[in-house]
Amino acid sequence: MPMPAERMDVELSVNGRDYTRRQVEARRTLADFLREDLSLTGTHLGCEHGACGACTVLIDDAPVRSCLTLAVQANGTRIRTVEGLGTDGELHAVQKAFKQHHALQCGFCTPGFLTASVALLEENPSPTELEVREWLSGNICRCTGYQFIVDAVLAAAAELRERRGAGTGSPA
Amino acid sequence: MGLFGHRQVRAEDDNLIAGRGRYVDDLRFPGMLHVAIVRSQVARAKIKVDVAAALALPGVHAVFTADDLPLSARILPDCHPNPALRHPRGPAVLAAGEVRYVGEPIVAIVADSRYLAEDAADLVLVEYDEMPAVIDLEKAILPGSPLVHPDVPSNLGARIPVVTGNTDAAFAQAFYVARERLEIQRGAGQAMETRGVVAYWNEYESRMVVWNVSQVPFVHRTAIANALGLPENSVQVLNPDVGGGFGYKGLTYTEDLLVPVIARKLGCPIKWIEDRREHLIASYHERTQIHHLEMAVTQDGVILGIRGRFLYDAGAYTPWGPVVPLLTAVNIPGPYKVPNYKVDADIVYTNTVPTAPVRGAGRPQACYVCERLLDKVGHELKIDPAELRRRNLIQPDEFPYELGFISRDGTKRTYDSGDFPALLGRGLAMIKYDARREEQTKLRQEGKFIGIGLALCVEDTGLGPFEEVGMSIELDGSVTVRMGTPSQGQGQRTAFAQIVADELAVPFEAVKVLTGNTDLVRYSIGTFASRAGVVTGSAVSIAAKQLKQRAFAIGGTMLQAQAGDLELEEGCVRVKGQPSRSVSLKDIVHTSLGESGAPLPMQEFGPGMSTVANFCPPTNTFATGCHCAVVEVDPKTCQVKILQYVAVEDFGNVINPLIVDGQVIGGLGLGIGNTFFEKVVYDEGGQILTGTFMDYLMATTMDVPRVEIDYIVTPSPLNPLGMKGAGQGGTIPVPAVLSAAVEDALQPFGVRLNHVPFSESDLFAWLGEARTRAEQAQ
Ligand code: FES
Ligand code: FES
Repeated sequence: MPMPAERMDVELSVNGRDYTRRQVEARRTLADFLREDLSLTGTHLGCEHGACGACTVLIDDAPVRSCLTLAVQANGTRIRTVEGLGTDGELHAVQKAFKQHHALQCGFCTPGFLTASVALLEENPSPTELEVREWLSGNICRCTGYQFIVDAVLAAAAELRERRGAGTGSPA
Repeated sequence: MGLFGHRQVRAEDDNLIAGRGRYVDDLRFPGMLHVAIVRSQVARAKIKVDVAAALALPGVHAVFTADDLPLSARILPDCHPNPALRHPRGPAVLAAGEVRYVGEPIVAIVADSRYLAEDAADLVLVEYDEMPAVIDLEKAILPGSPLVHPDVPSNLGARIPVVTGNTDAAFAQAFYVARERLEIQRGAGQAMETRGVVAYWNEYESRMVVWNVSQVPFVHRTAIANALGLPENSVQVLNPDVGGGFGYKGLTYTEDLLVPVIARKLGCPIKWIEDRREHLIASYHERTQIHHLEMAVTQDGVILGIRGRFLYDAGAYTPWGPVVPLLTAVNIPGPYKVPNYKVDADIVYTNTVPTAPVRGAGRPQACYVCERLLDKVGHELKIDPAELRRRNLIQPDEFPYELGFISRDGTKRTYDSGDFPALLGRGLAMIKYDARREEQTKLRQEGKFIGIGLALCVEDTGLGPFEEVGMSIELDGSVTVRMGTPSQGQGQRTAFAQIVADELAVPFEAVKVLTGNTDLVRYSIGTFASRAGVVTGSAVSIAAKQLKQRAFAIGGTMLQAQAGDLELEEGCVRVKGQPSRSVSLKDIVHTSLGESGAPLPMQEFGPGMSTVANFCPPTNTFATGCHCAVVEVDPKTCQVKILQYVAVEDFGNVINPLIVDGQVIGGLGLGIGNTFFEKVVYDEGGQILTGTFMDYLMATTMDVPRVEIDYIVTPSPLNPLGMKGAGQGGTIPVPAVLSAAVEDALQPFGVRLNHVPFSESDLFAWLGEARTRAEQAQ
C-alpha cells in the first residue's frame, strides 16, 4: 500500500492529449489532478463525496465521479472532460442543446450533466424521457428544476439521430 | 426590434457549456496559500486551543486563532439592525474562548495546499469544557433554559408584533375559528457551488483585492474595509461566475473577513474554498418556525381575522437581524382580505447555525400557514377550497391595496397591482378543476386516491433604495453597461442587454453587461429579494433613454435637424422620412470626443456618449401567483405521485420569459425539496445529523415534475418597465399546494397535515394515527 503522500507516476490521455509520467500524490483525487495539475477547471466539485455528480468525467467512455476516483486509479485510461466533448472545435450537440433549451442557470452543475448526458446518448441514442430522468438522477442541479435539462437531452438525441440518419442515408 | 419579452437564449452560456466558466475556485495566483478551518465539534463549550503540532507540520505557514485577529475583525457586523432586536449578537470570526454551535470556526490554518492545510487541521487540539446547550426551539424559551448568550437575559431575542384592526372584536363575532400548530423545519440554500474567498494585497495600487461569491459585494467592501482598518477606496470586491446564490450568499460570513485579514498579514494571495460538509454544517440555514395561529371566519368562510404567534429559530447569532420572521409576519395575509390581524414574531436564540434568508425568505412559511388555515376552514365548513378562496381574494379594482401595517422597508404595505381572481381562474382552468373533482370521486370508489391542492401567494419584490447603472457607447459603436448587482446565474448579461438593444437600436451582441466588480459603479445594494431585474433593470432602461436623448441632441446638431424629427434605427440617428440624412452612433461618439490635443468640438454637450442613471423605487412591487397540483397517494405505500403541476405567475412585464420560466421551475425544485426532503436535523446535543448530501436530500430529476407555466400580466406602476421580481415566486407556494393536495387525497382517512417537510414514512405514521383515532371514536 502506498502512503497517502507518496508520489507515483501516471500516464493517461485527457481530451485526446497524452500525458506521460505525471507525478502525483497517491491520495490526489482525479478531480484535483484535472483541475490543479492540468488546469482543466471545467470539472467542478459540488460535494466531494460522490453525491452530486458535478465532477462527472468520462473514463474510457463511462461516466465516473472524479471526486471519488484517485488520479492513480485512472492510470492508463482515456478521459474526456467537459472541455473535450466537442469535436474539431465544434461543440457537442448536447452542449448546443443546453444553451438552446436554457438547461443551465449558474452553470456550476452543467459540466457534470453534460458529460453524463453524452455518455447516455452514446449508450442509448433514443432514450425516453423517463430513461433520461433516471440516468441523470444522480446529478443535482439547484437552479433549473431539471425540466429544460431533460428537454435539451431529448432534443440533442433527436438531432444526433437525424445527423446519423443523414450521414448513412438510412432512416434514423 | 422588440427584444423585451423575447425568449432570447443567453449570452452567458457559451463559456459555461464549454467548461470555460470561471468560478472562485478556478482562480490561481502565484504564491497562493490555502486555508482550512477547524470548526467546533460541540454545541456549547468553553474551549482551549493548542496549535503547536499543526504549526510544526512542514508546509504550514501560519495558524490563526481569535487572538491573532485585529480587534476590528473579530465580530461580524449586524447587516440589518432592527431596534426590536435589543441584543443582536454577531458571529465571532474565530471563536474566542467559547463556542455556541457545532460548526463554529475556531482556528484557521494556512498551508501550501489544501491537502496540507487539512492535515494540519487534524493536528489542532481543541479542549472542550462542555456546557448545557439548547437546541429545541420551544424549550429554549422555557424558564430555566440554558442561555445561548449568558449576557442576554432570555433566549427570546425579540418579539415583533404586526397588527391591524381589532382582532379581539373580530374573533368575538366569529362563526368558526380554525386553530393550528404549524411547523416548518430547517433547510438550507445549498447552491451547487459552495462559498469561497480569494484575497490578495495589490501592491501596485495599495489595495486589498477580494474575490468572493457575494450577492452584495458593496456590503462586503464596507465590512472588509472596516475589519482591516482601510478606507473603502482601498478595497475592491470582485465576483467571478458564481454557482448559485439563493439568498444566503447575500450575507456576510466570518470567512469574508477572515481571508482578507490573513492575506493582509501574510502578504500573499490566500484561497479558502468551503467544502460541502462545512457548507451543510456551518453556512446559514433558514425556515425553522413553529406557528400557533387562529383564523376567524363567518358562516360563509369569509375571513374576519388572523391572530397568534410564531417562534423563529435564529440560531446562535443574528447576522441579518430579524428579516426572515418579519417577512413571514407581513406576508401571512397574502392575497386575502384580512381586516383584523395580530401576529407576534418571536425571535429565539438556540445553539444552532445562525439562520438568514434562503430563497423565499419567510414567505413560504407565511403562504403555508395561511393556506393550511384556509383548508381547515373549508374542511370544517364544507366549502370547496376554490370557492373559499374566491370569497376572500382582494379584487382587481381594490388596487392599490393597503394592508394596514408597515412593510419590511418601513413604508405602508400597499399592493401595487394584481388580479388574484384571474390567477386562480387560470390555474383552475389549467388543471380542469371541475373535471378533476369528478374524477376524484370516481377514483375513490375504485380505491384510488387523488387530491387537488391550490394556493395563492404574494411576494414583495424589487426593494429599494436604489441601483446605479453606468452606460457608454464605445468608439466602435458597442455598448458597455456597468452595474453593481452581481449574477449568480440569473442571466443578467442577457436580460439587461435586451433592454439596451431595444432602446438604442443596436444588436443584442453589441451590448456587454459588466458586473461583479465594486469599481464599476459608485454605489450599489445588491442582488437579492428579486430586486436586480426590477431595480437595476429600470436603471438600465433609464440610462439607455438618457443616451438616446443625448444621441438625438448631438446627432441633431451634426445633422442640423430638430431632435423631434429624429429616430434611432439600426445604430444610426436618422431624420424621419429621410434615411440618407443619418449619422451612426459610432460617428457621434467619435465626433463628440474630438481630436487629441484640439479643443472639444461641441462644447455644449461635453465629451462622449456616456451616462450614469439611478433608479430609486418608491417602495417594493408585489409579484403574485397561483399554483395548483393534482397528486395521487397510495395509502398502502404512502408514495406521492404528482400528476399535474401548474404555476400561474404575475411578474408584471417580463424581460425574458425563457429565463423567467427557468426561475419558476427551478424555484419549484426547491419548493419540492422543502415539502418532501430538505431537513437539517440536529440531535438533542446539537450535533448535525445531515452533514452530507446522502443525509440532506434535495429534489432530483425523479422528483421535480414537468411544470405547466402561464403568466397573467398586471404591470407594476412603480417602475418604468412595469416589472415585478421573479426570483422566488416558484418556491413560495409549493409546500402549501402539495400539503393541500396530499391532505385532499387522504381526506377519506382523516389525515391532517401541519408539518413540512413530510416524508412517505411520516404519512404512513399519520395514516396509522388517523386509523387509531377513527377506531377509538367508534
Ligand atoms: S463532487 Fe463528485 S459527486 Fe459531488
Ligand atoms: S445550473 Fe446552477 S446548479 Fe445547475
